[in-house]
Amino acid sequence: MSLQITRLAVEQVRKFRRPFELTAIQPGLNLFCGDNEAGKSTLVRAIRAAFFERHGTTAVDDLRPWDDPGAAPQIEIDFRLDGEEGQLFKRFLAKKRCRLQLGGRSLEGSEAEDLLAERLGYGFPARGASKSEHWGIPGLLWIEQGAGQHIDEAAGHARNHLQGALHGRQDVDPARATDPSGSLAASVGDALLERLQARRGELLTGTGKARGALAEAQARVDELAAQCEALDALIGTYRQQVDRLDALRRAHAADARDQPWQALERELALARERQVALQDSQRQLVQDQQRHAQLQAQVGLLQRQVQAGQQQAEDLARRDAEWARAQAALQAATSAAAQARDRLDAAQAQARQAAADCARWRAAASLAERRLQHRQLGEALARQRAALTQAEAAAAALAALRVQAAEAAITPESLQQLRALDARLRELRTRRDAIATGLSLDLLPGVTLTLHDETGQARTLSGAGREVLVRPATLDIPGVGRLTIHPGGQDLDVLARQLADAEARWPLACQAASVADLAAAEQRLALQAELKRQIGLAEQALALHAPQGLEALRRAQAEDEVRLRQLEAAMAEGLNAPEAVPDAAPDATPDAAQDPKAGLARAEARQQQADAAVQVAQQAAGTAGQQLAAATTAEVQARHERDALAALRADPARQEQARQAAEQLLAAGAELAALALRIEQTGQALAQAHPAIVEQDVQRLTASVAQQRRAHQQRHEDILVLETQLAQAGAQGLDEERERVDGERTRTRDRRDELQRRADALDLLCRELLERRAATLSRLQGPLTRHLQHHLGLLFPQATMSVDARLAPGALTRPDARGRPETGAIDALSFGAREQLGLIARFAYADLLREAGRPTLLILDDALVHSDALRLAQMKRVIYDAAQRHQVLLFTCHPQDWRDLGVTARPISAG
Amino acid sequence: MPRFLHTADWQIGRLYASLPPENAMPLAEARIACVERLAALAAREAVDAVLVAGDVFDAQTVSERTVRRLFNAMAGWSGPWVLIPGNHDAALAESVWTRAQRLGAVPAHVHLALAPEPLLLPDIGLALLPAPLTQRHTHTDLSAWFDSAETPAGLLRIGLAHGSVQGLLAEEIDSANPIAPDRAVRARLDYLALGDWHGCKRIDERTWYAGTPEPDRHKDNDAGHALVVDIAAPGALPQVSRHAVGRYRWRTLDVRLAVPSDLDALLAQLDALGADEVIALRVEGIVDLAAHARLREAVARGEARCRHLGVDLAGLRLEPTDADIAALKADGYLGELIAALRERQSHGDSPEQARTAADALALLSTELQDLGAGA
Repeated sequence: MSLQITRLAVEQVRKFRRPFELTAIQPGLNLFCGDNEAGKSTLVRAIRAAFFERHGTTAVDDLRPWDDPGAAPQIEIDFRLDGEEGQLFKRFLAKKRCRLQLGGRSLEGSEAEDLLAERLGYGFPARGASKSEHWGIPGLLWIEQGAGQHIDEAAGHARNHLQGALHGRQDVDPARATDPSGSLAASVGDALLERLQARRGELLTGTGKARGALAEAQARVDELAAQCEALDALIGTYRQQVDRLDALRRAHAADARDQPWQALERELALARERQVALQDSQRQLVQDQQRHAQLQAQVGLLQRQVQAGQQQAEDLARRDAEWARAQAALQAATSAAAQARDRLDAAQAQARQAAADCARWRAAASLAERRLQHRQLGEALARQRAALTQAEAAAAALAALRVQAAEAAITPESLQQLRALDARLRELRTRRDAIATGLSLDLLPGVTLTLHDETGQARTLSGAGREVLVRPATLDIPGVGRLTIHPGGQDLDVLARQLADAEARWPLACQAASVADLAAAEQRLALQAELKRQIGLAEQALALHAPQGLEALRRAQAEDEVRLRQLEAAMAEGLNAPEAVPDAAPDATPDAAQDPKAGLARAEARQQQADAAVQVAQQAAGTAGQQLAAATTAEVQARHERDALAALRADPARQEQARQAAEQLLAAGAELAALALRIEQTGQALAQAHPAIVEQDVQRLTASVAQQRRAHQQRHEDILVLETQLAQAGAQGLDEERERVDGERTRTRDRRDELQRRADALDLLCRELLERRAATLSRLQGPLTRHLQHHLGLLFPQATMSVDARLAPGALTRPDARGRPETGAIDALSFGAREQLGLIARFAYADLLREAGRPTLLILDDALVHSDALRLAQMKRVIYDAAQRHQVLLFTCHPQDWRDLGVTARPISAG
Repeated sequence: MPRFLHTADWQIGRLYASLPPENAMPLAEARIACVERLAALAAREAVDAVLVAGDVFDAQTVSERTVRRLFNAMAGWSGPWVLIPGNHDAALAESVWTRAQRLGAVPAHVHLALAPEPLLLPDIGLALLPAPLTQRHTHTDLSAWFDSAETPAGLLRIGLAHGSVQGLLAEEIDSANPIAPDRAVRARLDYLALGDWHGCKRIDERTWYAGTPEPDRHKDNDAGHALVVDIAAPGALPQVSRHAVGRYRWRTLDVRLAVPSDLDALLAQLDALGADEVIALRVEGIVDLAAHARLREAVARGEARCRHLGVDLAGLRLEPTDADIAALKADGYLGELIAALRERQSHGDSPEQARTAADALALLSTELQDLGAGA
């Protein structure tokens, strides 16, 4: 079934003031062309007005020609609808009328209008001009100029029809758009979903967490549970305290009844008694120990007394013995002293003899010595005399040499001066001779010549010879006359003067040196050296004989002479003395008797021995004397001591004292033994009784009694405290409070559970609805997608286009430059592309509606003007294809663009 | 001829805190009011004494006000009341009893038998042998001493104990605080007044549980009574009569909805609820949308009628009929979802999933109905 316009006639519509008619409009593609302002859009508007506007409306002023306020725009359309021929006649503004003839029926007015609207799928406004939201299917398929790309809105207004088509239902009533049974269920489904989601949102967050009342209920449950727990704890404490109070009371009553401390007190009393008894015996023990110590001291004292008596007796005996020993010693010392005296006397006599012998031997020895000296001195004098003689001779020689040397003395300086002066003289003469005028003479024998120098001195010359003239000279040649010769050369005078000077100094020098000439001087120098050597020798000789000098030698000799004379005098005196040669000593050898020296030595030795013996004897005598004195003293002391002690021992009082001491010692010893025994017994008894333990017993029992009484008292106090605490706690009505809280908890938990169940149910519903809705949608979108794809493939090979929940084109997916799929929203495409896709979508809707048996008619007013040639060519294929199934009215001002559509373009002109 | 009232398990201080406060408060108040009615009953029946066999208080640390209010409630009858502690209010070193005494709240005519020793009331011919609990739990028979207790001849020997008679209530009650079943015989008792079991129960001709006078739980064990006991003379058999004193009726309604008429019966029950009823309603089975809506409305009505209506619909499955679904106009994927939920609530992988599916189904139905109504 379909809608197909076969004829269109207008009159008094805008430019078409006069009747204009398009006839023989074809079932498929119809192309109408005309320039701008030619009236194409007026025809499109006329078709829309005929269907969409109520004939009675006043909102169609635009249909009226400009300058014709009284015009009655009139439109007549012949069509074929679902196989029936029909004609719609509408006149607006003036003489309004609507008439529809369809099949055999003829309808007028709004009845006719409503019938057509229902059949074609659009609606009318309650009042006023028809707007796009009323246009339904025709609004989607009848594309106004420049609106090809506005697909969403148009599709929205036609959605119910589209959904109906997708459901395969034909009897869609647009007025029942919210009826779920008639829709895709999207409308009511969406409304329901929205509602359920709102309800769910009250209880759950997007991620399914509790919120709102549910969260509050949960929080309250937790809070109450915590309160319950706290109360349980309090009640538990309370119960424990009650139990404790019970236990305390029982214990207190038991104590009050049994008085357990009494037994302890009895035990304590016993322990104390034991302690006192132990303390007494301990005291007794201490006293005994003190007495014991005293007695021990006393016994010691007495023992010492008795011992002292015994000691005295022993002392006396010892002193007797000592005295006897002293007496013996005294006798021995006395005899020893006498013997020593005797021996001293003998020694002294011997010493005196030895001294006399010694004096004699000393005199003999002295004489012998002087004789020897005299002889030796005489020999020495003789040698000295000889030496003196030689020395004097040597001295004389030396003196002579020295005189000689003094005569030949020349100093090296004067010799040097002479030598220098001699050398100068020679040099000067040589030079004078060299420059002086020579006068060589070889005179005949006998001829003499007289030469006068300037001083007038004359010298006679004869024979051969040579003269040197320094100064002008006059030569008288006998016989000949006089020759005056003037030596040439200017230096000659100087030289002559220097020479004269030197020559003048020469005798002075010689004189000074006391020599005649240089040779003499040289000779003297040699002599001088020789003399010097001789003097040296002479001096040595002198020194040999008189090392100390001659005078010393002489003096020594004189001295020796004096000594000799003295010796001789002494000797003479000695000789004159009596012969002192001693008697031969008993020990003297006969030889020794001959030798006074040896004799003297022996005599001296003997004297020394004798002196030493005397000394020894003296010492012995002294020692013996001292020993004697000491022995005497000791003997006296020993006697005195012995006498004193004996006197003491003989005292009767002391004897009595000693006896008493002995008796006391005996008694004390007995007491001491008795005491020691008692001490040991008491000590053992005490050790066995463990007094420290008994004391501990007392302490322990005292503390126990106190503790028991204190515990009793403490328990009593605890009971009072507990009673107070429990009274206070009981007044709080904890159990009631707990029951209240627990009850509220139960109620809140129930509420929480209810809310949770509701939330679960809502969550389930929302989830399920969303899933099912999505599934349904994709199922419904299938046919539309298929139709879309059919057309899209002609325009964009390999491209796909999705359909959104509102059945509008969604996103376009096509390969990009590198062949990878690229998805983008249609809105992002160029205007031309959007328009092309808008047309394609409409063709797809038309196909869908046609399959559903809905009438379709496509009107394109100046479409695709923004398409490039390539796209336009593709779109023409699409349009041609669509025109195979739908009637297409295409209005254009560019007929040349559409030449290849296989139909003739029919010009339109209002003129 | 001595005549006394036997009661027990007053549980004063119970708060029912798990119920909404507006329901809990009257139920708590009712327990004290019941004591007032007991006093009135005692006066009306002209008894010689009221014996309370333990659990007078629900807890040790109830508020001072509660303690005072209890003893005030006993002022309505000035004869001797003899109270023994039970496991809830054992005579511990510090207990609700010592507090009451400290507060001076115990009137002179109220005897607190806090120690196991005979309490002689010769004026009215009673020798009471109390077995008070002095610990929270005892595993020895505290009434054993009755056997050897001497009482003056001519006085009735009345035992007063709190615990469970061995062998009779074993499966019901904790074995703590045991009482020998033949105690009355062994101790030559004329009557043994017991507490702890909240229902009124006869153990033997001389041994009775009075039960709690004001029911406090849904267990249907004949609670809400007090016993008036007449004993002609020592050795004579007691004449025991039951007197209803409770106000609130605690009931459990377990309903299984299988056929549509089941719902009608339930609705009738709900609409017939009395003001003093405390109901625990548990409904199982399958309902369609309409039935579900009716049930909800009936529950709302019932809640307004009675003291408390606790509702447990966890076992109830919503099963929209095809007509329901058509009415909901839920086709397309919505229809699919509803079908899936229906399937899942019956054959879910786990009970939780099944329940969630059922909840979701109910929610969805409601929302769709709302949407439909709004459209």
